[in-house]
Amino acid sequence: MTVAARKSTAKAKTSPKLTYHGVTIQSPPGRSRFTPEQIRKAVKAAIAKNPNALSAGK
Amino acid sequence: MPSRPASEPAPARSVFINCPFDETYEPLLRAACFTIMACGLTPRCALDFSDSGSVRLTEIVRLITRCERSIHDISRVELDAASGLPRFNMPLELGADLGLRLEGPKAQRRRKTLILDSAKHRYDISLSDISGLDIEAHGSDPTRVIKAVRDWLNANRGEGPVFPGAKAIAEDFAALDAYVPQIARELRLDPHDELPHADFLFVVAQALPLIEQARRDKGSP
Repeated sequence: MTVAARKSTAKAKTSPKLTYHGVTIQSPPGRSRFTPEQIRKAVKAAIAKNPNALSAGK
Repeated sequence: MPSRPASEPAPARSVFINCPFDETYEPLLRAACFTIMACGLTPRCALDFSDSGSVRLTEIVRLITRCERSIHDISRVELDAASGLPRFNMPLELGADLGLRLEGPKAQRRRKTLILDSAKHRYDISLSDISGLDIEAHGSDPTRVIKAVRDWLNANRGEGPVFPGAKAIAEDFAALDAYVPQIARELRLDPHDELPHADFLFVVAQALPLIEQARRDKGSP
């Protein structure tokens, strides 16, 4: 594997592309107190614990 | 390590927001930020620099020049009960933006600007010179903010696929709003410790695909 390919693989591992209905989500400005993984886990847990929220606003 | 962007967002993908930063306005600001991120763009505002949003005008103008699109909410240009005077910070920043668009450097003249107000044609009385620009009324309703912002971004998206619809974005925003207290608990925050603006944006970035996936799993995309 070339150096460029290794760098590309490492980048892909650290920042997976987030998409929403086919649109690529940009990184927010500033910084959070939490890691993306901590936030992702918190959001997943909140969705699992409150499935009825998907009906909110309908 | 805390989340941190690799570099400043590109101007072509950045949307400047000029609005109040108080508790009453927060649902509208969050609705606008959620919509901008759902459309693949980055919301920028004075809260990027300061939790209170108190930033010098020079920094605000610099930030405006780094965003090709701007949203200005002038709904709070009203008489303050205590002083009997209106606050003019938002019209001032709108004026700076329009000055760049009209007579600024060439790169700034293709700027796109959306003006939001609480009611239709209210500006006719206080700021009639802006007639002819893109102006939408939101009635202090987050769903109307989402529709106004999404439709304006979509109309000015240039080439590329159509952005997600306003109804879908509004439903997903309502779902996230219901999840936020639990998300705060999962992050071990106290109930009274609201998610600050920066944390909220990072939550939105992670939540958009997860909510889309949850709807798909439920059979209702």
